[in-house]
Amino acid sequence: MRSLAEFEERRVGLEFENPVIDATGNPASSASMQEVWGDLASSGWQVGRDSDSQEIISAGKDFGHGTVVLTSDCAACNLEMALPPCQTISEAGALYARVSAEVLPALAARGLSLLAYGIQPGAFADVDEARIPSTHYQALERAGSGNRFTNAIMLANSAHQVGVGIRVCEAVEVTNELLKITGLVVALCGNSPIHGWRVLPWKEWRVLGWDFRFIVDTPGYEKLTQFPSRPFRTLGDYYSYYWDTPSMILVPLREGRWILPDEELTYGEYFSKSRVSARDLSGEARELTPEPHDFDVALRAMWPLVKPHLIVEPGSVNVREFFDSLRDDTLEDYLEGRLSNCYVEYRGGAASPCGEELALPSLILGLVNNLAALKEIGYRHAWEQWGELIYKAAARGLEARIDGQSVVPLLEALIETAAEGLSTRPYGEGAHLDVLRERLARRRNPADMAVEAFRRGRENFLRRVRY
Amino acid sequence: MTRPDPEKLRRLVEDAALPDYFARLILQRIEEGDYSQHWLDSMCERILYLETVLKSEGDVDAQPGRV
Repeated sequence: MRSLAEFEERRVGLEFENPVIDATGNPASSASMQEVWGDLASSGWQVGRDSDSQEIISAGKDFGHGTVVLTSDCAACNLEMALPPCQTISEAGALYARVSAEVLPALAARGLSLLAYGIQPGAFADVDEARIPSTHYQALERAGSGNRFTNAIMLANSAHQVGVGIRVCEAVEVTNELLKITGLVVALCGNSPIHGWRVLPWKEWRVLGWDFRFIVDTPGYEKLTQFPSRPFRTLGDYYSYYWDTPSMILVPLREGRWILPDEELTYGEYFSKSRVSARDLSGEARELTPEPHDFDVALRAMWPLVKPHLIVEPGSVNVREFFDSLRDDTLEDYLEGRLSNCYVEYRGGAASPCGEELALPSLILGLVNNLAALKEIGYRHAWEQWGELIYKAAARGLEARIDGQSVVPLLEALIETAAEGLSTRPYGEGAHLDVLRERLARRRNPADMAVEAFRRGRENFLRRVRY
Repeated sequence: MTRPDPEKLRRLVEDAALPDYFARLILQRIEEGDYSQHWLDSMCERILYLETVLKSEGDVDAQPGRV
């Protein structure tokens, strides 16, 4: 998702995950997905293989806007489409439609379907079989920040993520304000109430899984995915918070290979050294010299529900200057003009229902584009109350309450704030929010609709959520 | 330091109406026996918190049931 940093009007990028199921409605197998990847390779997609297992785990193709990347992240039965940034929501939607027109037939040819739903509705015959044999996850396990258990926690879940271009000076403010309203997004967009062909007591289980993602044997990593204990003051404060873990989460990459330092080091300790003895995943000894491009790994080594995504311009960042500015709390000033990409990644929404995919991106784009009004909503409740709302909304959807009050008036204000934000752009994007207004008017979010369909039978449910 | 109590976590998981794959992962790890006190305590704490949310939120519309 390149080139979101430079803009007159903010650009938007879609990063959509969706479950892949077989003809029985249960998760697609790794073997069948390998066949799909092979078919895509035959039709012009450039596939990527895991360097260790040699299994295909991604495919890329240029549709004229930049490369579209398809991946299976931690599970074969989950397909992610990462689209390059577009100028407008409608352009992004058109690109998404073109990609879908190639991907859906490829899945169908192997008896598989994509679901407009936030979790695998069926049951895994074998959870281990669903895993992707990825060196990325091997590196997490070897670094001590993950294990076979934690790396499988999210394999049933699918999010629709949205990237919106921001300026580095507003990165932390945007992050804080979007974090606050994530409970509202969960209330409005929750879409994961059925798994194992059972109705769960949650309308949105998917978002709750993140709390468990980094509970490992050593304390200190949990914060990487949980709601932050406090808002962030500055970008330096943000990175200091997430880099304060027992060791580096993602280790440096060299020639596409993860390299593990021989001793546990934090990012601060690593970047303070001139040389670090290390090994690759095969155990071969390597020597690491901290390099500026290691920042690109370090700057994305956290997975909160909202994260500023910064990529440094090659050759423009000096390790010592970076840490001096981190220490002096002047990172925003230092990074100005030194980034090749700068966007906020919104990760709080489940995969959307069919035909409603552009509603969440429009909401987030509109809110970022109307930050002053968004802050007015954020002032209405305390940080802790906003954090607790995520759980209440996961349970109750649009019936959730905050400080004893219904979320509905807040959601009405939120949607209109986004509409104002979109109205200042010359692209006529406000109509994409109508879907959200309809959900509010009927007091039912996608999870409610999914459960209603499921009560009328499994096939009825699948007809509703299957592309 | 409190003594590890995997049975407490096992009971919580079995009572909590968690997604099937998730519950199976936890039970598998308990079965394998390779975990720390911190993992046990933290998992229990988070699952208990989710139970508290469900109880405090009253009757949820979606009652567990198989179709």
